[in-house]
Amino acid sequence: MKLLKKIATNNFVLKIRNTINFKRVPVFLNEENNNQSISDAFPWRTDNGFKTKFKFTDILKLLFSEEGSELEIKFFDHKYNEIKSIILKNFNLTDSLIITKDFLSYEGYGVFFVFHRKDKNLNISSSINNRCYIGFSISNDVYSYAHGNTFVLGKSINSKIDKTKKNFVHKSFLVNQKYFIQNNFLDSEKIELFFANPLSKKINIAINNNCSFALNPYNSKIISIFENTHLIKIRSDCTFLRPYVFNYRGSFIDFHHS
Amino acid sequence: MNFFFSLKTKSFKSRICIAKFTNFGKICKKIKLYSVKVDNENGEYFWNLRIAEANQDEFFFTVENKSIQDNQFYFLAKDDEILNFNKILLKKGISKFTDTVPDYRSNSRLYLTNGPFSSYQADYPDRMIGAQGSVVSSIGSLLSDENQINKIIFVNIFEKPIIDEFEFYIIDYEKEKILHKGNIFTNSINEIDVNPSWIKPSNFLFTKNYIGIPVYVSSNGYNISCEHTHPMTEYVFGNQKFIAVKIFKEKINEIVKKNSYK
Repeated sequence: MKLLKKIATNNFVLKIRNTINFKRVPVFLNEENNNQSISDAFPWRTDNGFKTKFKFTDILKLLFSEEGSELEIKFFDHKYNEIKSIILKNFNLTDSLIITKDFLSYEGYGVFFVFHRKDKNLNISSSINNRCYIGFSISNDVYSYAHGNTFVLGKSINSKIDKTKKNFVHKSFLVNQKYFIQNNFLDSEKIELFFANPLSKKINIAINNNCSFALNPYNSKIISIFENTHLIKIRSDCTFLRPYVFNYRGSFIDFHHS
Repeated sequence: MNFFFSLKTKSFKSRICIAKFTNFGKICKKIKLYSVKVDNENGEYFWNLRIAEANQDEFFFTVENKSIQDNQFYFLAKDDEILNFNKILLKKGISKFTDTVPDYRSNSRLYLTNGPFSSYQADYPDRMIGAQGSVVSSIGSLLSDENQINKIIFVNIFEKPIIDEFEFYIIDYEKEKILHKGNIFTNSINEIDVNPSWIKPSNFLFTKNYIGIPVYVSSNGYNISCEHTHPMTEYVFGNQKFIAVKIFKEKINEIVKKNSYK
């Protein structure tokens, strides 16, 4: 049975299963991911007057009573060039980080990853998933928030072990993985979809059969869709691709995950 | 199966948009949108089921604010599936159509009277409606003491058609104190006013006896933001998922037990 399970969850077999839609496994986490801190590819923006706010929880302290943990945060531009890396210490139980163009010395957009860590082995028979909150403000207005969406990169909680785990989400052989956003955008003036590739491989994306592009590993891209869009249909060869949505109306934005 | 809900309260207007298709594109043209709420006839409480008052087109049902009644919930079902409905006990799995991965969600929009809105992709899974327990949720995560208006909309759907009162607490976890105690109701969309002094990193909302979804709303009077917090179990994957959260909730419960409301 163990062997069968191993075969059924082998990457190649998963790719076949996902391609032919047989007992799809869009995301795969198992006990090999124990003692890992797993992060989403959180979007950030400092373009066009945007500020980004990341609100996070000290998960190791809250749920495992571990004091003195750190938070490693790595920022990348939309082409996955590293811009900045910081280690936060002595933060509150819930805390926040504001990301501006001055903070990054960069105007644009991209993704960042967040890893909880300590300087020793904690022997946790689980992984920590950072699904915290990301907010966007334009022209110093109220931040509009959404929570983390998926699992992209993992690192050992033990900061002395520098090994990254990846590809929790999978690919299919064909661009046949559909994702239809369950919202009506007819009354929107403008929509931007923020895509981030969660894989270490290139993926292909098509939107509403009239816009298609490829996205290199961990790259991100903002696609603008203008008014009179009723329905947004996404096809890709990535099994779990859910863009974030910036919905513009007048002078304000509504940001949510799709 | 998922239920859907509005964010309509005494302070906010709401609109819900519910797709007739799954997020992998399977559309069901025969699907209908139903509404349920707890009702009372001659002292007997029951689930009052109706076809929802909604606009619809090829792809969506839209329920506008004027059509949303207080404490009303929604779900999708086909004609043969609705025969599974029971007015004495809200059952799980009335319809299979909204059993999807990722979750089947509506767009729940909340707005101020002057136009700006905030929305989130909302659902209330039917696995929650039979559960009783507690919710712990960080207050500091999604609110801001810089904004004039901060509220928690706490949504509960419970299988029995009862409007049962239950307690909520605002807890300072690090100082082990209760900052506030109040009551909210089952099968309701409850609105909790948040004092700006509660918006601190170590403060949590804690509910006793019933679970639900806390939606945090913050506004400066011109613009608005809303989002729900995750259950704490979402932060952990693996063997310790439920144990870690259980231990944390027991600590919170101990704080409640050893303190009296001031």
